[in-house]
Amino acid sequence: MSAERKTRIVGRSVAKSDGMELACGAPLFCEDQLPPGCLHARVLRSSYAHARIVSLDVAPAEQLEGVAAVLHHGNVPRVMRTTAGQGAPEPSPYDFTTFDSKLRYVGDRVAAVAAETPELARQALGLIQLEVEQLPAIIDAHKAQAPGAVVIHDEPDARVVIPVTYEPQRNLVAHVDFQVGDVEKGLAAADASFDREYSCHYAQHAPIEPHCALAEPLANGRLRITTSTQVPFHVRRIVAQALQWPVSRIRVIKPRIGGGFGAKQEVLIEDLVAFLAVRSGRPVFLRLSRAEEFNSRTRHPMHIRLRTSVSAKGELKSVDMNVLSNTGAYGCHGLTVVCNCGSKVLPLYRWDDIRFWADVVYTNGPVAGAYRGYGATQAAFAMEVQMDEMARALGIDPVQFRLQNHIRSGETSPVFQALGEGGEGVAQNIGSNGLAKCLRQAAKEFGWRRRPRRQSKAILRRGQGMACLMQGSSIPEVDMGAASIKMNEDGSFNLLVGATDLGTGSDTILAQIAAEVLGVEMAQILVTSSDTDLTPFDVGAYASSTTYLSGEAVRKAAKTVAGQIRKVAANILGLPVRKLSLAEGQVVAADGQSLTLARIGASSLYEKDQNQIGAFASHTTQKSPPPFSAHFAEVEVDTETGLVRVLDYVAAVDCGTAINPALAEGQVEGAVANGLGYALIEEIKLDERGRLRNGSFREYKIPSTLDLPKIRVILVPTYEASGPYGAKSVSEIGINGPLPAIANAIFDAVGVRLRQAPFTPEKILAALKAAEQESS
Amino acid sequence: MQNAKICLYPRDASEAVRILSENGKRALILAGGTTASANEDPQVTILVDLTRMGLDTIEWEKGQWTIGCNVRLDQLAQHPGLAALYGGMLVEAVQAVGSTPIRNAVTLGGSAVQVFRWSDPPVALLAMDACFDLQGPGGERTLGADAFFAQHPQRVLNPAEILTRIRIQESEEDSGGAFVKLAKTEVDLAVVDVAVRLICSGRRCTDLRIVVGATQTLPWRAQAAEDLLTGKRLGGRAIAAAARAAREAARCRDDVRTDGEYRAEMVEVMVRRALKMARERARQQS
Amino acid sequence: MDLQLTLNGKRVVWQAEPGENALDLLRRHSLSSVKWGCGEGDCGACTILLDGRSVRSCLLVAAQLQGREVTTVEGIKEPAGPPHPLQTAFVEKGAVQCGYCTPGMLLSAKALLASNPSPSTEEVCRALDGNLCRCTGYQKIIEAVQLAAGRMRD
Repeated sequence: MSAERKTRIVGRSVAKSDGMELACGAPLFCEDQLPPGCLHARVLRSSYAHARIVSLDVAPAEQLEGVAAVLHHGNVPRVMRTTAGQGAPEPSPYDFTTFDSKLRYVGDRVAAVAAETPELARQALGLIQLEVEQLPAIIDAHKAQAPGAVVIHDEPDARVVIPVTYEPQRNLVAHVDFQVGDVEKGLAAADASFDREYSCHYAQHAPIEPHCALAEPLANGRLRITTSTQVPFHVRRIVAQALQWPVSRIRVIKPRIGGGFGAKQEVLIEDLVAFLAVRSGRPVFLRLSRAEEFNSRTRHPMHIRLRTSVSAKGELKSVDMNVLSNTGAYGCHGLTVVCNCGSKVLPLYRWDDIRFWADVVYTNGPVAGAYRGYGATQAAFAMEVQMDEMARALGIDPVQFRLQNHIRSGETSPVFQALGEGGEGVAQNIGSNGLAKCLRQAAKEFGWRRRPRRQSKAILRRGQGMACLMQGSSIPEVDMGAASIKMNEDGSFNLLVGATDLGTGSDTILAQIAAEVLGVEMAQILVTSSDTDLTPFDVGAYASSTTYLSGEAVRKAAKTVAGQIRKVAANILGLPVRKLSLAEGQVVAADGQSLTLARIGASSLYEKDQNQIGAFASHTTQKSPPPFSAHFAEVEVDTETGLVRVLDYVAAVDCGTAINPALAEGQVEGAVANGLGYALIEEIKLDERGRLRNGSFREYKIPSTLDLPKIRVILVPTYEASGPYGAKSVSEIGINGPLPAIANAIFDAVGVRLRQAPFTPEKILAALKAAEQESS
Repeated sequence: MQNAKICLYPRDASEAVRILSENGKRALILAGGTTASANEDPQVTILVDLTRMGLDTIEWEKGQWTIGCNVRLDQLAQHPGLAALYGGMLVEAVQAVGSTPIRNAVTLGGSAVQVFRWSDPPVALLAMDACFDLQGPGGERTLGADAFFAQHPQRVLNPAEILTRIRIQESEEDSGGAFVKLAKTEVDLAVVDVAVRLICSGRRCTDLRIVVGATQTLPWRAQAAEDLLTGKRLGGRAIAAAARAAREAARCRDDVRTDGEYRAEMVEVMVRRALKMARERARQQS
Repeated sequence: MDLQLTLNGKRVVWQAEPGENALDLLRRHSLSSVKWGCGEGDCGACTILLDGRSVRSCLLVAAQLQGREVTTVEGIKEPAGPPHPLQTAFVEKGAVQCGYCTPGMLLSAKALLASNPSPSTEEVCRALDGNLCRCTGYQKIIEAVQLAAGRMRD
């Protein structure tokens, strides 16, 4: 492990580089940049959960004055693909085309219109005549594989492009099964075993900026797409695929993004504006309505059966996790999300025997996709509630129980090798691991009671709960990030990255890394992120990868540039390169001589041996070092109303070196807030016909300022040798904690175990009544 | 309101009534304006902004509060005098509405006339037995709260008739009141609202109004519960019985927030809590 | 109609349909800080100050702005002048993540501080309860408002 070095800018909470522009309300977002004469698009969506189009008459819409183009399955080429913005070949099935003659969920695309105004486009949608043959619909995932169940993807051209199980005739999107050791034997032989079932629900990312995209046909035959995306390079590839164009004719620009959380890792509207712009020859803008956004992509609802065994002394023995995941009408991220249930949860503890098996099924419900936490959220709920139950049953303090069983630095888990992005994973030993410190520091800060609370009879009862978490940092052997840096004559640098800042502050931390290596202040690093014509490739903002992966690409590029600078300086000063170093905007020699970077920049561009100082670097990884975290929550349960108030929340996280502590804290605070919403109040509700009942912020509540406790974040520094300046990831892990921590706290308060999320007042009252009946 | 061509700004109630009576269904009233923007009626060609005709003050005289229809909820929430009126239940009810920007826009008059199932202030107004001054083409009239909320106020009002003032009489006796809202988040619409106003003589309750909101279309009085307690001392057991009576009388709707069963159960809990709060406040006053 | 209003301290006259959505109207006049987040009055991204009070512009129509004072984030500092203390505090504290809710937050906070220069945490939360943020969990926003309040008192 390389030694921790003292750093100058890395590790400091410098202000976010785009913060002031954003705070001034500058026109930085997609919708702020509409050109004159821009058309507006609207999408006609299915109001049926499952239906075949019998006839579609768009002529009245086309004839409406002000309508420029109407798209539908009859006039757009059928190209099977996925909307999932993943590396190619994608692990998600090719079960989607721009428009299909079959409608598979309420909200599926029927047609799209571009018109002079949004109002006209909306009017045009009303003129389209649609006649369908309704088909039986599957809303409940448990019924997807029942004998005789209707086949949702009966089209012959649905397929997978990597070698994995895919059986659409059985509504089966993916199947995973691996075992190490003999789980059945391990479960039977242990002192105590536990067999419980858990379920997690549909929820939505709810970025405040919905999906927006603008496509502009250029006079040179190219198409420029400005879009609120997490994955500009995947957008370019997937739109090219849909249009059957070469990638070279498409340029994708990512402006500032108003939040994504995984929803914008899907290519949901860019293909539509692209087709409409090509058809009309004019710029076309589309923004999803809030109702459409709620039905855009969701978190995979899951049913998890978890069997575990443990010795009387509290040593974990065997684990068997079985997952049924509902991907909705399309299979985007179906396989990879479910793999994460195993790969980001099971390695946290030492098990003798492990089995993980999962089915991912189609239903006619809303389409699930990537959502912060990505499967780990659902599985950590099951695991951490069961850990609490085991600890309580054995009379061991839940914190002590985790300390006793968690994976240590230098150890490995067979799960890393067994489970990857669909297929096998990549073996790794744990490097940095601050989990024990997280547990101890957070417990102390929080005021953890080691013993369960005596049951009170008060109406308002308080309880404490906790949970441990891990995630990953990028996808090993799959993800790639790249950066380029060039030097200007005043000693400033342009840092170009494909990495996609979607509000997280990644532009800032990448600039910090460059500034650190180059020995300059932040103001000297000018970041441009995500323009497929200008910036190098990056897979985009997902899988907690940007700091760890793109950050290392930046560090490498900056190191090369630093070498070039020293070489130029060596020539000017007549000194050997090895005697020179970069600091405070200067090249400094061992003998005290120095040159400003401005002098070197000017020399290289205008004077001697003229040459652009600059470099590209790319980075891939063999490892995905997990960040670790311990969460503690205190709740107050109103036993008459069932309402839960969260009184206190502490999250300690080991993200390696926090490149920017304030931004890292912000990631954890935001993730915890979202997780608290998921645990207590957020749930997409469907009616029996598969229609969304709460597609608005009035009906689907996300936490407001008044709904959250003070969230105290503790950054526990460790040094991850494989990451830039010791950094690991931080963005996703925090969302996984609230579900189990709150469930455990509710148990502590009122003695009932809730295994069906979210923990609504109705469920809590019902559980309290059931417990009362049982005891009487 | 895509066909709206002009907006008129009457300077007083008479002018407003005249404009409304001349224009019938062509005219759409704008008050706080949190609901009008969604109006898509193609008949509407004239907007009438009622917020410029005064009637935006809170006045107290001889034990009576007079609140202009244009008084916004944020003004009520901050008014020091109202905090003492029946335990501050009107302040509690307006604080319960939506979020700050909604309270900054919504007027008490608009909230009373355009009552939704979940509207909070009307629950308190009905419990306080407020009087509603109306002005229309045929002159002025006043309705008591029971008459005003007997059916939807928009049907109670005659064509071109507007609500100008809401008046609330203070009690000379010992009194208390409380408004409680149960919602799933701090800014969510109510699962159940309950407002209670009680007037006492010593320990005995001489007049009691219990109003439940959010369970059905309009706020309603739980008269069976009132009858159980009126003239009695408000002991814990009596309160519990009244709360049960309210629950039995409740016809609770299912909606996306919760089901009728949970709502009904919460009617009992919230009536009990509101009664206890009102009782404590009345005792503190005496 | 001829719509006369005071926008960010300056008298303007705009041509508008009386029933035109106020958010659309403001964006049409290049006030890009006023964001569309739901169009239904639930998220607060379109918050403006109307006669100093925070309100949702997406629920208002043009006619309701007649004769009123409208403030947007474009108007809380002079174009070439230093940032408003709230803007500085938001950036310093890390209260800006994606920035989409930020203009609305700033305006709600400004309205609060105008009437209450020393708000408690509870009062800050109450004043911002109509502005949804999905990135920050509000912690740093609340801290930033209090930091700015302190500086503005000094």
